[in-house]
Amino acid sequence: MNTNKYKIGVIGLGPVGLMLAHYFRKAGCEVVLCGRSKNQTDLIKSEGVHLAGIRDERSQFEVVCSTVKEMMRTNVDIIICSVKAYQIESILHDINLYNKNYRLMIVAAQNGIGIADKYSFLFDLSRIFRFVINFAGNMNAPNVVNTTFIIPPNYIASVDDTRSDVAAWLAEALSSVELDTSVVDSFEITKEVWHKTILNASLSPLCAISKLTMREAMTIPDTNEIIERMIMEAVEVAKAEDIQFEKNFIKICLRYLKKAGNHFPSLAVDLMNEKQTEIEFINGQIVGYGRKHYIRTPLNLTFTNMIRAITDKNLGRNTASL
Amino acid sequence: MKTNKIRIGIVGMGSSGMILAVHLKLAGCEVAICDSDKEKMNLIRNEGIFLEGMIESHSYFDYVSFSVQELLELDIDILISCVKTYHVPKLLESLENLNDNTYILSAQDGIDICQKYIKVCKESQIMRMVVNYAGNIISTNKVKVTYYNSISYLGSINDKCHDKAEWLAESINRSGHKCEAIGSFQLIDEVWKKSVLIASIGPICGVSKLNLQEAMASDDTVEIIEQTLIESMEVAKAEGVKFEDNYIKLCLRKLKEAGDHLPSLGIDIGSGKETEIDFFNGKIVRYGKKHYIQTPLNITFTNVVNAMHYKKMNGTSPYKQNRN
Repeated sequence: MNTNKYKIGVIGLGPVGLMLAHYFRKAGCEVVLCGRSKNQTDLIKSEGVHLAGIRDERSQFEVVCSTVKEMMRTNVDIIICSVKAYQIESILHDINLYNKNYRLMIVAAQNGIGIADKYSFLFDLSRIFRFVINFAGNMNAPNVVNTTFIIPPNYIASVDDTRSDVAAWLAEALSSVELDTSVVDSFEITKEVWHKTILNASLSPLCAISKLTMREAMTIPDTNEIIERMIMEAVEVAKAEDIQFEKNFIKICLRYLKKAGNHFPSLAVDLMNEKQTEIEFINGQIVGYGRKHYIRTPLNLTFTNMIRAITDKNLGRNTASL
Repeated sequence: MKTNKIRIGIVGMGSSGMILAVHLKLAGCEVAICDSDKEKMNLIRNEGIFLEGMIESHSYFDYVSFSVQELLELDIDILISCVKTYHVPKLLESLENLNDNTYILSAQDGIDICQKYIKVCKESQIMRMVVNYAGNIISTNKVKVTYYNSISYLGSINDKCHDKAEWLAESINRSGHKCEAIGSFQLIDEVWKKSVLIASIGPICGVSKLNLQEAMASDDTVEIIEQTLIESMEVAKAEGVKFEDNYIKLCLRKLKEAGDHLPSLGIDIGSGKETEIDFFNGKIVRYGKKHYIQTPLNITFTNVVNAMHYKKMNGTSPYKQNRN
């Protein structure tokens, strides 16, 4: 493959952004990084990125920007957007402000339902790609990611199926460095988005509220029961949305979750650090689609609302705490 | 009946026990109190108990003991149990040789608490009280009364000792807190009503660490408080419990007015102590299963709280233990 066909920019240097940047770099692609913490970008410039954990690898980056404006001057062809879901709007606004390339393509690498719709406000559908990630890590240091799991494959699609050639190029690059990625069509990717979101929804807020690690939540019978019910509720809603899951889907999800590590999902880490969370894009979406189809989602509603109420208090938005 | 002939013993000097002790003392009863916390009891012996907040009061106590055995040696006529629900079994161990002339009043909240007492005492000896005042302990012998103006109810659980219940209710009334003696079936209704209310806020406050005021100020938590109420009432109705019209709206109004109170179920969850959740949300889940009524919110809170407690007690999950 021609690894220099497109120049890649990665915005958002959390575990996902850094891991993707590393693997594209390793595949031989030209990669520009962009993060908003000067401390982090300086560290990456001088020491590179280090992946620890399951795989132990390092990579160096020549161009590391600390503003979107700076990155847009490097003439990237494809932007991998791996910021938090609730930061998408402001990042897209910045990209749009400084973009002179009408052919610029963008990859949505967040978890959650309805993410691609956010991009479609500013980008033509033919320019948007949806990426479903099946690996994860935690930050050990601003430039060090501890890889916690890689369960291939990842999925990528052109959201209106017009540019599956570009999706294929991205998938091929990642697959060449043992990060297996499959190209699927736009309907298939919606299914994968729901699948991944249901997995996230069943564990993330539960771990956040109970302060149990994913493995603990899966092994204590009381929480295991709730996890199964959360999945059942979400599957009901997905079916109403005409998502066709394989046979024994709930059992497959539970088996997958059994492999979860003895650490916290990122939503739990965000809540514990009193930061905003992605709950609106995970359980919040299941509740929203449930209402659309008049399907009750009491567990998802409970967790969505609990996380929201706690976050509001943490961020000083509860009027009674003042 | 003359007040000075009946001697009342109160076990458990939490906020509810302390408030009750002061009231019965004010009513002129002979009151003996008991708690296993020696430091606390010595302080009460020297300084008495202080109530502040919605009522201001102070009483000294002549009979202060550290154990139930010691208390029973004082010829107690009515023993009032104000211990935490999960301490009831321990209390019952010391009541096995209870004299037939002694009556027991269970002042715990929660569904089916009396079933525990029935195992040790005769039904005709047992009374039950639904306490509709509340307070938070602000120092060892001081309680801030945060909720006071509703009527408390008490009664004999099989209507056999109604006279005793009437006498007690009258005494509490005399001290300023409204209290009514009611029949056993109406009493069960009141037990459910109170439990349904506690189940709707206790675990939400405990798990989210929001106090009642904060929880009532957020639309998100109000929504699940209401949902939990609806769910629990459905189960209660299947059990034949009667609610007044607009009960949910009344509950929400009551909770809005409750001020900065922290429900004790919430405090225990927040502090990682053993909780009474199995007698509130847990019971609602059980009765829901009995009547084939789904209780998704109650099961969520029951299970999350129990799993958190499990982790606190064991330090980890069963998985890790097996590995070591």
